Amino acid sequence: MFKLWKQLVKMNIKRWMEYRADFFIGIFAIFLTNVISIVFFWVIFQHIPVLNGWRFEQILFLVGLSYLSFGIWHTFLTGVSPHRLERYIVNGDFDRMLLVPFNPLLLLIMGDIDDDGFGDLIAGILVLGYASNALSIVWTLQNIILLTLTVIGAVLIIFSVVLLFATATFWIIRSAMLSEILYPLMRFTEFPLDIYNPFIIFLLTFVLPFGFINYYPAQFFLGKGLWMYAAYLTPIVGLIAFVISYSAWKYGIKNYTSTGS
Amino acid sequence: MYLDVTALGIKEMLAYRTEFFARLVGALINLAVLWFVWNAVFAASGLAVISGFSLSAMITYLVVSSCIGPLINSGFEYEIEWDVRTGRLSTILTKPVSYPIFRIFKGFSNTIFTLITNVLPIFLISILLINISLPVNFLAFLISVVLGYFVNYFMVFLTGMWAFWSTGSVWGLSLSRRMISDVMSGALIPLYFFPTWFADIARLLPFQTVFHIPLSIYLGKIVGIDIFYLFVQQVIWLVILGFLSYFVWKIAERKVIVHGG
Repeated sequence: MFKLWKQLVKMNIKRWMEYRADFFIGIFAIFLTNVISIVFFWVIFQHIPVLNGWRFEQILFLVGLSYLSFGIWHTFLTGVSPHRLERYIVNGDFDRMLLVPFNPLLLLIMGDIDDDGFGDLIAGILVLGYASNALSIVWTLQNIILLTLTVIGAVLIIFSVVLLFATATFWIIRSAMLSEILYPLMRFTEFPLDIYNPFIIFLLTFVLPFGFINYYPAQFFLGKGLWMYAAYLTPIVGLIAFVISYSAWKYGIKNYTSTGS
Repeated sequence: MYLDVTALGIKEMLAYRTEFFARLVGALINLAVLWFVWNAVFAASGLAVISGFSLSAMITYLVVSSCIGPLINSGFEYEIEWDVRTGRLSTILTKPVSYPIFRIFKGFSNTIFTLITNVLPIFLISILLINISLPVNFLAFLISVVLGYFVNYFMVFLTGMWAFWSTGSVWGLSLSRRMISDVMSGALIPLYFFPTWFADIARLLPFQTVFHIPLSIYLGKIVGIDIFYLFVQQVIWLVILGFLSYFVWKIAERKVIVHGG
């Protein structure tokens, strides 16, 4: 399986080099989407010293953490999304995938490595690097291990939520429009959870666990708040989210094949 | 003749009613996030007025900005790309229409549909749920929105023209343009909040004619004879970008006729 994936990566790199202008402009564009939210904070912090107890650099750390996780998801896992699945189901590619003796979810993932995600990754590394330097966060072994676990968990959370939305395609077919709701929902991670009301904080912790992508983990690295050790929950929450979404996905496929539509 | 194009476009759009509904939900989520953010910002500042904005003026600004956004971001640059890639362009060119004007009228259908399915609901829901104010000078506001709409139209048109020169996609260029516009136009944050040097640069660019000028008129930041001065600015940009679009289109058209698309 790894060999197959390596082959696909090679094919992708060839394609990027063929459309070199697209490659760089795409990465630049995604990089810009992250820059503008930094500009947003930069302007706001011209007028206030702290936002709900968060200084500018601390906010940078918070968003940098999410850029990094979104970057990995964007680069390696966007093969699974409502609009891709809609396209594959409508044009019959998905039915063909089901005939191959290979996990269809892995096929979807491996079929797509999106270079635009590099824009998120670069932004994430730059912002996180700058913020941890400004806040003099020392990358001790414990911090590095926790960062790795956080990113793995966060990527699982993002992937699982998108997978759940994609699963809806089996019933509603025209699911590409769900992205119009999905992406605004992801915007919740651009700000510290504590600016929202308790109901939304509850939702973003227990229902759509975006809080574990960056808010709870950031508390730990920045040494603030009562919920510091909730950072350790991120990989567990990611795993639970994946189990739930994957079960829904399996059920969706079973339903899809039995109706034969 | 051109109005038939608009009428036909609206009929096509009726098939995408649910997509427009999803977009409305997304816009409302976005607005909710920003509502929380700005409430937190005002609470953090301890001030009733920041850069000449009360909290309620700020919320009004955000709502009206979210109303203008969907009106002008129809994504018709992708339609241009599609015309070029699929050869649909040659079919359109055989008809006695000017392509740029054809696209304007096709765009009107999206504008009208968006107005009914997104803008009016966003505005009405905001009036009901949060206290927003009505325009200080409705007629001047309307004129400036229309002028800004066409300035933006030509900027998007020029982005779409990229399809004639690149074998790749206009997506990256279009997203970059939009991100720069989001900051420079005041769509994201009023230019009044920026440091003076930044706002001065933004005032020299065409983007501000799309959001900053109409919103300043809406909130009564600019009144009386000064409004006329703003219209002049908008018209100047309209003429410059209109001519530029015309010339670029002429070159593109020749390219298509000579090389046969």
